[in-house]
Amino acid sequence: MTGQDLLVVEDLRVSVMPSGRRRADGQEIVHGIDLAVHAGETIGVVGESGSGKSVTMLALLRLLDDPLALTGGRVMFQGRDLASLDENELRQLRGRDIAMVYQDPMTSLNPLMRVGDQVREVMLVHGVDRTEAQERTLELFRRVGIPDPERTSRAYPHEFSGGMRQRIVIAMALALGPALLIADEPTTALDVTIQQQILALVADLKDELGMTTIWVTHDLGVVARLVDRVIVMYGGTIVEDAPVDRLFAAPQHPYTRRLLASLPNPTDDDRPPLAQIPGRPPLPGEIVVGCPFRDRCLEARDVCFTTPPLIQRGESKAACWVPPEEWTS
Amino acid sequence: MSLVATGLVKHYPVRGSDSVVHALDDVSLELAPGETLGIVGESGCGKSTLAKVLVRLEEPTSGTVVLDGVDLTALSGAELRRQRRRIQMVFQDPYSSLNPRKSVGSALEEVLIVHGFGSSAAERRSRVRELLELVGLSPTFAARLPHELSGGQRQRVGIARALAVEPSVLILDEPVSALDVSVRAEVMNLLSGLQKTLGLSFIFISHDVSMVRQISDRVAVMYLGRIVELGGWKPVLDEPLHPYTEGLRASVPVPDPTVHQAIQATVRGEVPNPVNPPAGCRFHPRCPAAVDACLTVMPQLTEVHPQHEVACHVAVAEGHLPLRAITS
Ligand SMILES: Nc1ncnc2c1ncn2[C@@H]1O[C@H](COP(=O)(O)OP(=O)(O)OP(=O)(O)O)[C@@H](O)[C@H]1O
Ligand SMILES: Nc1ncnc2c1ncn2[C@@H]1O[C@H](COP(=O)(O)OP(=O)(O)O)[C@@H](O)[C@H]1O
Ligand code: SF4
Ligand SMILES: [Mg+2]
Ligand SMILES: [Mg+2]
Repeated sequence: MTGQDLLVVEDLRVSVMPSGRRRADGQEIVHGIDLAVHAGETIGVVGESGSGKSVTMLALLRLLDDPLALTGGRVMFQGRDLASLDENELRQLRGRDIAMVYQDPMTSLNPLMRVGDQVREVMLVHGVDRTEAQERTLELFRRVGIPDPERTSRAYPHEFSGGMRQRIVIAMALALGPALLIADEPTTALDVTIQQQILALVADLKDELGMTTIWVTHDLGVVARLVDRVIVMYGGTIVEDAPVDRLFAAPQHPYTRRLLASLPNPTDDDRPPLAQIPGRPPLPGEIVVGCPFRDRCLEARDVCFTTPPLIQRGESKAACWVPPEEWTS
Repeated sequence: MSLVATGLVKHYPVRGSDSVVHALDDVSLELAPGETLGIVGESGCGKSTLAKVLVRLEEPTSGTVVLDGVDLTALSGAELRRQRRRIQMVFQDPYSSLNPRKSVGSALEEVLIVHGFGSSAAERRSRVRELLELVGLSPTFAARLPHELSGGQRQRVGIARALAVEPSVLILDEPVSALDVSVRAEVMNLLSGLQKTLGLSFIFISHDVSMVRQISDRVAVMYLGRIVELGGWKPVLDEPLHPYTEGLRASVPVPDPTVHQAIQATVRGEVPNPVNPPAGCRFHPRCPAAVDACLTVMPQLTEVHPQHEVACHVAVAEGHLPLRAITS
């Protein structure tokens, strides 16, 4: 770990535990995630639905609920092992040092409480005094682009559009100046013009506050526009970890390459048929021997029956035995 | 024309008040045989309402829908049911419209029975096999239950069900929006293939500009219940005339980090409440190019270039996208 690493995740594993049978082995759905996040970085986590993005984020915050359980690995945040913290210390950490924004803003909002009070509450709980909390709430509302904060802070969540609710949640997340913001598909349910407004806001905040962000999305356009580094997930593992320009220019994993190829080219007037990836990802808990992409991969060979680790290739890391120079397709 | 809709209006009453939701206001469109008309717009702009009115799942407040020369809006009862067969709808989430306890095969057979297709059970079962093959599923899928299907397979079943009654027009309401990137490619290609082999006409509804660009011959852009721009896919999406189309286009993040993409809001504010749509041009509160007339006079769709219509005072006067609406 270098002095610059804000978050280090080593061999993180999650399983679905069978109900009732306490000591029985569960089905593993996240198979050993390794990840280091540097201070100030914006990281994009992409992958198809079910690839394990959300579960991984919840696992590293130790927020998994029954039947999901953390079954292995280590998470270090600012040099502290999260396993060594008690529930109280963890609660302090979440909200103050690490903030989370979910796809559905109502996950984070209380429908019966005025939105201003909810943002203030976050600060009061963490020991900010009343007057300051009130002032900061209005300032935060202004900052995230909610018009007329004095009035709107007294309204209830149902009086806002989805985009405005997400801004309120972002205001709440920023209330205590967290070192790390984890946003799980925060704009997926929003219209593109509203998504664009939120992306602009987050890009500004990053410049202004030097905030470190993990942005989970399935939209490769958002990734290209917003992030510095990309983590590609497939079947509960990381298959590629690369700087954003390297990922698009020279993908090092066959899955990444085929995923990029399946997107329509927005400047091609011939509009050729979209490239497909026949087959399907492994089902959750399905026992896979070797590389999880093997049965769809055009490059697969005997060695692929052994699970590939993340292998450094230039600035990228990819979990594939076969380097691009040897690809045949 | 296989489908001609004229002056469609759909107002929904608002509970406990005299006002109405202006879900659809004066929408007219034409669809030629074998053509795909893409409809793009943001949430709540009336896309699904238009779809439902076109297939008569909803009664329009006013306006007509003429299918292959037959005025559907003038029909009712058995005659409506008979004529309506030729215009079918495919939904975003076929799961919600499939009975969870019924196998794929019996769901398809049921559609055939209801519409009087196939004279014997054996004939219907062979037609089910044919339909499954048509959408790229092996006949063994007939025995599967909906929960045993992936998202892409479910959408294939949804398409097979729409095709069972041999329609000439398919209304596709966000057919790939719930699907992952690679699965989306399969379903898009399937749709294009079916259109060619069966000579179908499509109305392809989506909030996703890239999918509309991929499949459409012509494109209509909707905003707050109205069509604001209409024309060939290339002029509308790549050289738009309406400031809203431009803002929408520029908001779509391009999956290419070498393309310079300013991260700045291209359309400010939010879509206003359709219960009280703004006077004049409905886009004026968000429009960077608005002039005085826009606040009071409703712009009508006007042909500015051949086959390219726009409802914008400034674009019509200047003959191009208003300069103030051009994003970097
Ligand atoms: N049954 C209904 N009663 C009242 N209002 C309705 C009803 N159905 C739709 N509306 C309203 O009509 C407007 C258009 O809705 P519609 O579902 O057609 O939008 P849409 O363009 O399909 O949006 P989305 O992209 O979210 O699917 C919205 O303001 C919606 O709230
Ligand atoms: N509460 C749960 N119980 C059992 N399986 C779960 C649960 N939550 C998630 N999973 C499974 O874990 C896998 C990863 O899910 P998730 O992290 O939500 O994917 P993503 O966010 O990438 O779409 C999926 O296969 C999903 O079905
Ligand atoms: S390890 Fe083998 S199967 Fe997996 S992606 Fe690489 S070449 Fe394909
Ligand atoms: Mg998720
Ligand atoms: Mg809709």
